[in-house]
Amino acid sequence: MHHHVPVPTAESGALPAPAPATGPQDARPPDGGGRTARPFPRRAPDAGLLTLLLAAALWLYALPRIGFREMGDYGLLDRLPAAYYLSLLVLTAGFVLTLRRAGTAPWWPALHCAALLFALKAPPAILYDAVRYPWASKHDAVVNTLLANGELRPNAALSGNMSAYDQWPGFFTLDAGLVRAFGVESAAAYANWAPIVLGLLMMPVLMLLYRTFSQDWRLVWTAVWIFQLANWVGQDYFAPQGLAFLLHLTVITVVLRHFVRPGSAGRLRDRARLDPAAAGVPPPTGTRQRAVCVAILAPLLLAVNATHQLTPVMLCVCLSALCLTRRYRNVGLLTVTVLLMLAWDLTMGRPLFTETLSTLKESIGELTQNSRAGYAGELTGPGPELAGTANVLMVLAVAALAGAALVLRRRLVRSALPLLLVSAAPVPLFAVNDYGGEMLFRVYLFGLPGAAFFAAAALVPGAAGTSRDGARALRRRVSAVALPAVLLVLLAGFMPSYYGKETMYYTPPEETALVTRALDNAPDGSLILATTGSFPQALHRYDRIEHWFFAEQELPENERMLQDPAGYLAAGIPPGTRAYVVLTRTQDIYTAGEGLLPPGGFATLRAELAGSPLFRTVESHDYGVVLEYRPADRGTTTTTR
Amino acid sequence: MIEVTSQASQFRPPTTDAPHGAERHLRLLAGASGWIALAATALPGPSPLRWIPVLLFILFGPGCAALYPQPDGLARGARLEAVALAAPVSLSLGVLAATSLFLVEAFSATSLLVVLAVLTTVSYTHL
Repeated sequence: MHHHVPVPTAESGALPAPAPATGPQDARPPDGGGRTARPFPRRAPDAGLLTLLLAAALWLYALPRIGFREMGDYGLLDRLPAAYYLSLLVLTAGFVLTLRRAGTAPWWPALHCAALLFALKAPPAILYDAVRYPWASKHDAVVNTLLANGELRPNAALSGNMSAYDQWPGFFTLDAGLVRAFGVESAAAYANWAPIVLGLLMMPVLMLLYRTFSQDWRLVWTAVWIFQLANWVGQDYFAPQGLAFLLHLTVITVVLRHFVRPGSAGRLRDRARLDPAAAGVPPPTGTRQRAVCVAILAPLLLAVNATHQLTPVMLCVCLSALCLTRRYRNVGLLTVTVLLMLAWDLTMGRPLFTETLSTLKESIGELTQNSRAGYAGELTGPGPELAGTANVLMVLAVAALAGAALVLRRRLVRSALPLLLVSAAPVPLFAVNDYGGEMLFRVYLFGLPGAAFFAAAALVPGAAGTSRDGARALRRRVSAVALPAVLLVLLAGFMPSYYGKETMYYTPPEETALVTRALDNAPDGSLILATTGSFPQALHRYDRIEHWFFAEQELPENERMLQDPAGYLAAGIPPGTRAYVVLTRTQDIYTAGEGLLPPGGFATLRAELAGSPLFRTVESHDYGVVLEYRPADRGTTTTTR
Repeated sequence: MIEVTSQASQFRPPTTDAPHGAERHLRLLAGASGWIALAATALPGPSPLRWIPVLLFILFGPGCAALYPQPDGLARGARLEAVALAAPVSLSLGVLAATSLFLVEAFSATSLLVVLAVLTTVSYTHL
C-alpha cells in the first residue's frame, strides 16, 4: 500500500539546528531540502566518538571496582567508583554536544542513548552471580515448571495465584524455548540482561513514536534520553510486563502512524499552523487499508494478551482514549482489541479474571489505597528513604517538565495531542484496582513515553525564527543551560531511584543455595512460611509446595504477630501440615526497608522462633535459618554451621 | 505491507537502485536464519556460537521476514519502520508459536525453531 499525501507535511530531511536557523522552517523544500547543500559535519561526530570512547574507558575501569558484595545503607550508590559517575557525566556531555548536529547526524545521539542504557543498567548483568530482584527468581521457577510439565495448567488453582502464570504464559513459553535452545540450565543464566535487551529493542520503537510527532531529531533523542533516565521504575526486568509493554508500545505506534482517518487532520495539514518541530499528520488510510492493518496487528494484539493480564486492559484504555479524537476514531480496531482480550480472559485466563471481577466491587473507588506503592509499610533506612524521595521527585520533575511543555509548546501539543491522551489514559485505573500494590508503577510506566516526549519539548527549543526574534533567542539561550542541567538532575535522580535499595535486590549465592536446599528437601504438599516472598528461589517448586508470606500485611498486625510469633504461626498452620519457616538475610533487609516489620523485628522473630519448642532448627547460617514446625516435639533443637 | 512514504528516512541518503546481488545474498541469509539457528542448537552447552544465532533469529528473523518481503526491498520511508518493528513482531510470533506448542503438548526447542524457521522461509520465498 502506498499512501501519498499531496500536502507537504511529512518529515523534512533537514533538521532545525539549535544555532540561528537559516530561515523559516516552512520555507524549506518539503522533501529534505538542504541535505546536499549542507556539508557533512566533521566536528560533532568526532566529539561524539571521543566522548563515547572516554565514557567506555571510564566505565570499564570502574566496573571491576564496584563493591556490590559489600553494600551498606545506601545500596550500590556509595559502592560505585567515581570513575563510574564520571563516565555518566561524559556520556551526558557527549549527548548534549552531539545533539547540536542531530539533524544531519542523528546516529551520534542515538549511540549515546544506547550507551547510556548500557552504562546505567549493565553492571548488575555483568557482575552479579545471582538474579537481580529476588522476586525475579519466581519467573525463573515458572519457566522451570513449564519445562518440567511440558504443558500449561491454567486451572491448577495453585496457592498464591501462581496458576495465573499458566493463564498468561506467553513470556514463559518463549523463555522455555530460549532456555532449551541456548543450552543453559535455566533462565537465571540470562535473566539479568532483560533490562538491556528490552531497552535496546524499545529504543527504535520510541524513536518511531516520537518521529511521528516531531521532525526534530534533537527533540526525538532528548525524549529517548529522558525516557531512559525516568525509567527507574524497575518494570523492565525478567518479567512478562516488560515484554508486554514493548508490544503495547509497538501497537500504539503503528496505530498512531497508520490509522489516521481521511479528512480528519483539518488545520494540522497547514504547515504554518504547526510548531516548527512538529511532524505533519501521517497520511490518512481508508477503511479497507485500516482493516488490513488490523489483520497485521493481530499477532501483536494476541501476543499482548498471551503475555500479561494488565497490559491488554491498558491497551484498550489507550485505544479508547484515541477514539476521543477525530483523527484516530477507530471503533473497529478498538472492538477487535476488546474482543481478543475478552476471548483470552474468558478462556485461558478465566480463573483469575472471574476472581478479579469479584473483588473489583471492593477496590473500585479506593483511590488512596489503589495508588499505594508496595504493601503496607513506610520505607525505612537511609537508602530506601532516599530512593523513595528520589522516586517522588523524579515523577514530579518529569510531570513538571511535561506540564511546562503544555504551556510553552501549545502548537506542538495540539498536533501531538494523541500522544498526550495515550499517556494520560491509564491514570484513571487508580480508581479500579491496586494490582498488588503495583498500580502506581504500572501507570507511571505507561504514561512515561508521552511524558518524556513533552518533557523534552520543554527543554529543546523550537528552531524557527531568526536571531532577531528576541523571545526565541532568549529561549534558546535558556535552553542551552537548562537542557544539560535538567539531564544531570534527572541522572542524579535516577541513581538513588534505581540503585538506592540495591541491598534488597542483590542476594548472595549462599542464600539462594540455602533456600533451594530447604525447598528441595520439603516433601510435596508442605507449607513454606516466610515473612515475604522477596527472597531468592521463594517460589521454587511452587507447583508442589504451598506458601504463606505471613508479614505481607499492615504493620500493626505484624506488631501483634511479634508479641508471640510461634503461637501466631502455629495458629495459622492447618493441622497435619508439614511446615517449614525460611527466614533469610534478604527478607530481613526487605521487611526492614519496606517497613513491614519494626526495627529489630526480624531479629526478634528469628530468635523467638528458633527458641520456641514448636520449631526445630534444620539449618542456621548468618544469611538464613530454616526451621521445621514440630508441634509434637518439645526441646529438640539442633544447630548446624 | 504497510508502507509510509511520508516518513522519510534520514539514515540513508537517496540512492539509486539497491545492489541486487548483495541484497539477494542478504535475503537468502535472512530466509535461512532459522535453519542456521536450528543447526546451532546441535552444539553442546551454552556456547556463544550456539546462543548468538538463536537469539538473533528469535529477536529479528520472523519479524524481518514479515516486514521485509519485497524482492526489491522496502521504500526508504518504510525502512525505518521495519527496523523498529522487526523485533516486536518477531517476539510476538515467538510467543504465539511457543504458547501454541505448549497447548498441544508438542513443545521442544526444535519444534519451536522449526515452526519459526518455516514461517520465516515461507515469508521470504512466497510473499
